[in-house]
Amino acid sequence: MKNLRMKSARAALDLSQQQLADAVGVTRQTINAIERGDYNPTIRLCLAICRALGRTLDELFWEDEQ
Amino acid sequence: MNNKFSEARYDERQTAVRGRAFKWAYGTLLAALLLYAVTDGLWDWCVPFAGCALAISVSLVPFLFICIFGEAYWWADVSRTGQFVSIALLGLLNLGIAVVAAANGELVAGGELQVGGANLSLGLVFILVLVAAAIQRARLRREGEDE
Repeated sequence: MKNLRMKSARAALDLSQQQLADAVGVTRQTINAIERGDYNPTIRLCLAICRALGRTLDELFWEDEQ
Repeated sequence: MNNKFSEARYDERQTAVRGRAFKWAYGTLLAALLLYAVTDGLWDWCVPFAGCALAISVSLVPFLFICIFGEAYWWADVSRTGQFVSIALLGLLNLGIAVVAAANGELVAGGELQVGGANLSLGLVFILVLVAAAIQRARLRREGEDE
Protein backbone atom coordinates (compact mmCIF):
# COMPACT_ATOMS: atom_id res chain seq x y z
CA MET A 1 0.00 0.00 0.00
CA LYS A 2 1.36 3.41 -0.95
CA ASN A 3 2.43 5.65 1.90
CA LEU A 4 0.92 8.91 0.72
CA ARG A 5 1.03 10.41 4.21
CA MET A 6 4.80 10.16 4.26
CA LYS A 7 5.02 11.60 0.78
CA SER A 8 2.80 14.56 1.65
CA ALA A 9 4.69 15.16 4.92
CA ARG A 10 7.93 15.24 2.96
CA ALA A 11 6.44 17.54 0.34
CA ALA A 12 5.09 19.83 3.08
CA LEU A 13 8.66 20.38 4.25
CA ASP A 14 9.73 20.88 0.61
CA LEU A 15 12.18 18.01 0.88
CA SER A 16 13.18 15.87 -2.06
CA GLN A 17 13.46 12.11 -1.67
CA GLN A 18 17.24 12.50 -1.83
CA GLN A 19 17.27 15.11 0.94
CA LEU A 20 15.15 12.91 3.21
CA ALA A 21 17.30 9.91 2.33
CA ASP A 22 20.45 11.83 3.27
CA ALA A 23 18.83 12.97 6.52
CA VAL A 24 18.02 9.42 7.64
CA GLY A 25 21.03 7.71 6.05
CA VAL A 26 19.50 5.53 3.38
CA THR A 27 19.44 5.61 -0.41
CA ARG A 28 16.88 7.61 -2.37
CA GLN A 29 15.58 4.34 -3.79
CA THR A 30 14.74 3.16 -0.26
CA ILE A 31 12.64 6.27 0.42
CA ASN A 32 11.01 5.81 -2.97
CA ALA A 33 10.26 2.14 -2.20
CA ILE A 34 8.69 3.05 1.17
CA GLU A 35 6.49 5.72 -0.41
CA ARG A 36 5.44 3.32 -3.16
CA GLY A 37 4.67 0.65 -0.56
CA ASP A 38 7.24 -1.74 -2.00
CA TYR A 39 9.30 -1.91 1.19
CA ASN A 40 8.29 -2.11 4.85
CA PRO A 41 10.91 -0.23 6.87
CA THR A 42 12.11 -1.38 10.28
CA ILE A 43 10.91 0.51 13.34
CA ARG A 44 14.36 2.09 13.58
CA LEU A 45 14.09 3.62 10.12
CA CYS A 46 10.45 4.60 10.75
CA LEU A 47 11.56 6.53 13.82
CA ALA A 48 14.37 8.22 11.90
CA ILE A 49 11.92 9.28 9.18
CA CYS A 50 9.43 10.54 11.77
CA ARG A 51 12.13 12.62 13.45
CA ALA A 52 13.30 14.01 10.11
CA LEU A 53 9.77 14.95 9.09
CA GLY A 54 8.67 16.12 12.56
CA ARG A 55 5.75 13.71 12.68
CA THR A 56 4.74 10.81 14.91
CA LEU A 57 4.71 7.12 14.02
CA ASP A 58 0.92 7.15 14.10
CA GLU A 59 0.72 10.04 11.68
CA LEU A 60 3.00 8.47 9.10
CA PHE A 61 2.82 4.71 9.50
CA TRP A 62 -0.27 3.61 11.41
CA GLU A 63 -2.82 1.91 9.20
CA ASP A 64 -6.44 1.58 10.27
CA GLU A 65 -7.86 -1.91 9.89
CA GLN A 66 -10.65 -0.73 7.58
CA MET B 1 25.44 11.05 5.30
CA ASN B 2 26.19 12.33 8.73
CA ASN B 3 24.20 10.40 11.28
CA LYS B 4 24.24 7.05 13.02
CA PHE B 5 22.96 5.24 9.94
CA SER B 6 26.07 6.20 7.99
CA GLU B 7 28.06 3.49 9.81
CA ALA B 8 26.42 0.93 7.55
CA ARG B 9 27.59 0.85 3.98
CA TYR B 10 24.33 -0.66 2.77
CA ASP B 11 21.01 0.49 4.14
CA GLU B 12 18.44 -1.97 5.49
CA ARG B 13 16.51 -2.36 2.21
CA GLN B 14 19.75 -2.96 0.33
CA THR B 15 20.79 -5.57 2.90
CA ALA B 16 17.48 -7.37 2.41
CA VAL B 17 17.85 -7.27 -1.37
CA ARG B 18 21.41 -8.57 -1.14
CA GLY B 19 20.24 -11.40 1.13
CA ARG B 20 17.71 -12.46 -1.52
CA ALA B 21 20.42 -12.17 -4.18
CA PHE B 22 22.82 -14.36 -2.17
CA LYS B 23 20.08 -16.96 -1.74
CA TRP B 24 19.52 -17.16 -5.51
CA ALA B 25 23.25 -17.17 -6.20
CA TYR B 26 23.80 -20.02 -3.73
CA GLY B 27 21.03 -22.13 -5.27
CA THR B 28 22.30 -21.42 -8.77
CA LEU B 29 25.88 -22.29 -7.76
CA LEU B 30 24.76 -25.66 -6.34
CA ALA B 31 22.73 -26.45 -9.45
CA ALA B 32 25.54 -25.36 -11.79
CA LEU B 33 28.17 -27.39 -9.92
CA LEU B 34 25.90 -30.43 -9.94
CA LEU B 35 25.24 -30.02 -13.66
CA TYR B 36 28.97 -29.65 -14.30
CA ALA B 37 29.81 -32.73 -12.19
CA VAL B 38 27.19 -34.89 -13.93
CA THR B 39 27.98 -33.80 -17.48
CA ASP B 40 31.74 -33.91 -16.96
CA GLY B 41 31.31 -37.40 -15.58
CA LEU B 42 29.54 -38.45 -18.78
CA TRP B 43 32.11 -36.93 -21.09
CA ASP B 44 35.18 -34.82 -20.33
CA TRP B 45 34.27 -31.46 -21.78
CA CYS B 46 35.95 -29.11 -19.31
CA VAL B 47 38.94 -29.00 -16.96
CA PRO B 48 37.90 -28.69 -13.26
CA PHE B 49 39.21 -25.13 -12.81
CA ALA B 50 37.28 -23.86 -15.82
CA GLY B 51 34.21 -25.87 -14.75
CA CYS B 52 34.21 -24.28 -11.30
CA ALA B 53 34.78 -20.83 -12.81
CA LEU B 54 31.86 -21.40 -15.19
CA ALA B 55 29.60 -22.44 -12.28
CA ILE B 56 30.65 -19.38 -10.27
CA SER B 57 30.08 -17.13 -13.29
CA VAL B 58 26.61 -18.57 -13.84
CA SER B 59 25.74 -18.12 -10.15
CA LEU B 60 26.93 -14.51 -10.26
CA VAL B 61 24.32 -13.67 -12.89
CA PRO B 62 21.20 -13.82 -10.63
CA PHE B 63 23.17 -12.18 -7.80
CA LEU B 64 24.25 -9.28 -9.98
CA PHE B 65 20.88 -8.81 -11.65
CA ILE B 66 18.97 -8.80 -8.34
CA CYS B 67 21.50 -6.45 -6.72
CA ILE B 68 21.86 -4.06 -9.63
CA PHE B 69 18.17 -3.78 -10.50
CA GLY B 70 17.26 -3.72 -6.79
CA GLU B 71 19.71 -0.80 -6.43
CA ALA B 72 21.72 -2.71 -3.84
CA TYR B 73 24.97 -3.33 -5.67
CA TRP B 74 26.67 -0.07 -4.75
CA TRP B 75 26.17 1.70 -1.49
CA ALA B 76 24.79 5.20 -1.50
CA ASP B 77 27.80 7.48 -1.57
CA VAL B 78 30.25 5.49 -3.67
CA SER B 79 31.52 6.95 -6.94
CA ARG B 80 30.29 4.62 -9.65
CA THR B 81 32.20 6.00 -12.60
CA GLY B 82 35.54 4.71 -11.35
CA GLN B 83 34.01 1.31 -10.70
CA PHE B 84 32.42 1.20 -14.15
CA VAL B 85 35.88 1.78 -15.67
CA SER B 86 37.42 -0.93 -13.45
CA ILE B 87 34.70 -3.43 -14.38
CA ALA B 88 35.08 -2.62 -18.09
CA LEU B 89 38.86 -3.08 -17.88
CA LEU B 90 38.51 -6.39 -16.00
CA GLY B 91 35.95 -7.60 -18.55
CA LEU B 92 38.07 -6.63 -21.53
CA LEU B 93 41.23 -8.06 -19.94
CA ASN B 94 39.58 -11.42 -19.29
CA LEU B 95 38.02 -11.54 -22.74
CA GLY B 96 41.36 -10.55 -24.25
CA ILE B 97 43.12 -13.43 -22.46
CA ALA B 98 40.42 -15.80 -23.69
CA VAL B 99 40.72 -14.54 -27.27
CA VAL B 100 44.51 -14.92 -27.19
CA ALA B 101 44.11 -18.46 -25.84
CA ALA B 102 41.61 -19.24 -28.60
CA ALA B 103 43.93 -17.77 -31.24
CA ASN B 104 46.75 -19.99 -29.97
CA GLY B 105 44.44 -23.00 -30.00
CA GLU B 106 44.66 -23.30 -26.21
CA LEU B 107 41.04 -22.56 -25.33
CA VAL B 108 39.90 -26.07 -26.22
CA ALA B 109 42.34 -28.97 -26.25
CA GLY B 110 41.33 -32.54 -26.98
CA GLY B 111 37.67 -31.57 -26.86
CA GLU B 112 38.09 -30.15 -23.36
CA LEU B 113 37.59 -26.52 -22.39
CA GLN B 114 40.84 -25.33 -20.83
CA VAL B 115 41.66 -22.70 -18.19
CA GLY B 116 40.99 -19.95 -20.76
CA GLY B 117 37.32 -20.85 -20.38
CA ALA B 118 37.45 -19.32 -16.90
CA ASN B 119 38.65 -16.03 -18.39
CA LEU B 120 35.94 -16.20 -21.04
CA SER B 121 33.13 -16.75 -18.53
CA LEU B 122 34.40 -14.15 -16.07
CA GLY B 123 34.93 -11.64 -18.88
CA LEU B 124 31.37 -12.14 -20.05
CA VAL B 125 30.06 -11.67 -16.50
CA PHE B 126 31.98 -8.40 -16.10
CA ILE B 127 30.58 -7.12 -19.40
CA LEU B 128 27.10 -8.22 -18.31
CA VAL B 129 27.51 -6.24 -15.07
CA LEU B 130 28.49 -3.21 -17.09
CA VAL B 131 25.46 -3.48 -19.39
CA ALA B 132 23.06 -4.08 -16.47
CA ALA B 133 24.57 -1.17 -14.53
CA ALA B 134 24.23 1.13 -17.55
CA ILE B 135 20.57 0.15 -18.01
CA GLN B 136 19.89 0.70 -14.29
CA ARG B 137 21.65 4.07 -14.38
CA ALA B 138 19.44 5.17 -17.27
CA ARG B 139 16.36 3.91 -15.42
CA LEU B 140 17.32 5.84 -12.28
CA ARG B 141 17.89 9.02 -14.27
CA ARG B 142 14.38 8.70 -15.78
CA GLU B 143 12.91 7.91 -12.34
CA GLY B 144 14.72 10.91 -10.83
CA GLU B 145 13.29 13.19 -13.48
CA ASP B 146 9.80 11.88 -12.74
CA GLU B 147 10.00 12.50 -8.98
